[in-house]
Amino acid sequence: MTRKQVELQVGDRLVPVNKRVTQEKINRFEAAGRALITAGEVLPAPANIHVDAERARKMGLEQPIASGQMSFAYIHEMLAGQFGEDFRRGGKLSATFRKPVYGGDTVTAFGVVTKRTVSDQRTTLTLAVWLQNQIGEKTSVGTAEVTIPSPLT
Amino acid sequence: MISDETKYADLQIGEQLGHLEYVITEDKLQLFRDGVEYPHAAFPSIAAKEYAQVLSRKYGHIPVISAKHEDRYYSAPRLNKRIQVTGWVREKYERRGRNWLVVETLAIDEDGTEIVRSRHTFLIGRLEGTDQ
Repeated sequence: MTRKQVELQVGDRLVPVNKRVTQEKINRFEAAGRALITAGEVLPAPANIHVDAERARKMGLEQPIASGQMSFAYIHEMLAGQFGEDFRRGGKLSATFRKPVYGGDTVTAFGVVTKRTVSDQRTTLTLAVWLQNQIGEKTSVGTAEVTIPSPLT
Repeated sequence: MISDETKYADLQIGEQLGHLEYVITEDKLQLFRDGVEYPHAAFPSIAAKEYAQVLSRKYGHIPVISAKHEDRYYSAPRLNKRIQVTGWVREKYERRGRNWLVVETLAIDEDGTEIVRSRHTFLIGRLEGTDQ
C-alpha cells in the first residue's frame, strides 16, 4: 500500500519503475526523437553511439549505449506516475548520467523523500532519485522536487 | 571545414543559439510512448535532444555526450501546437582536457504557454560518437 502523495514523509520511497532495455528499444527511442523534430516520418536515427556498434567501439564502448535522455525518461515516468499533474506542472528533475546503460540491461528507477516542507497549505517534497542496473550500479543519480498541489494548477 | 575546437572557441557565454520549431502530433506522441513503454508519457521533448538541436542549427553538427539534464516543467505540450525552442550558452569550461558546455533551453508553444525550461551539461567535440 502506498501513501497518498501529500502524506509522504522523509524516508518514504516511491513506487519503482523497472525497464528491460534492449537495442531495439534504444533504436526506437532514437527514431522517436528524430521523428519529433521532422515532419513526423520515422527515419532511421543518424549513426551515433546509441545505434551504431562501430561508432560505439571507436569510443571505447563494448556496444552501443542508451542515451542519457532515455534514462531520464524512466526517472520522469516514476515521478509523473506518482505525482501526476503536480509534477507535470511545476515539478523539477535533475539527473547526472554516471554509467552507461546497454541493451540487455535491466534498470530500475528509485526515489526517496529527503525533505518535506508545508507552506500555505501546499506540501513541497524534495527527493533523491536514481536509476540502478541489474548489478546494483547507480547509472544515473539526481534530485527532484514537487509541490502538492501545484501552484501552477 | 571548421573544426569542433574552433566552433567551441567561438561560443560565448550568454550567446543565443539556433531556433528550433516542431509540432507534436498524435502519431509522434505515440512513437515516443512506444519508445519509453509508458502510455501516459506527456513530455516527448525529452527525446528531441533540443539542446543539441539549437547548437547544431547555429554551428552545424557537433558531436556531444550528455552528462547532466535538469528540467523545470510548466505544462505538458499540447498536440498540434507549434513548439518553439530557444537556447542560450550558460557556461563553458575545460575539465580534464575536454571541452564542456552548459546550454539552457526554453520551450513555449505558439500561444506563448511555457512548456519546459531545461539545462544540459555536455561534453563537446573531440570524440567521434554523437548524442544527437
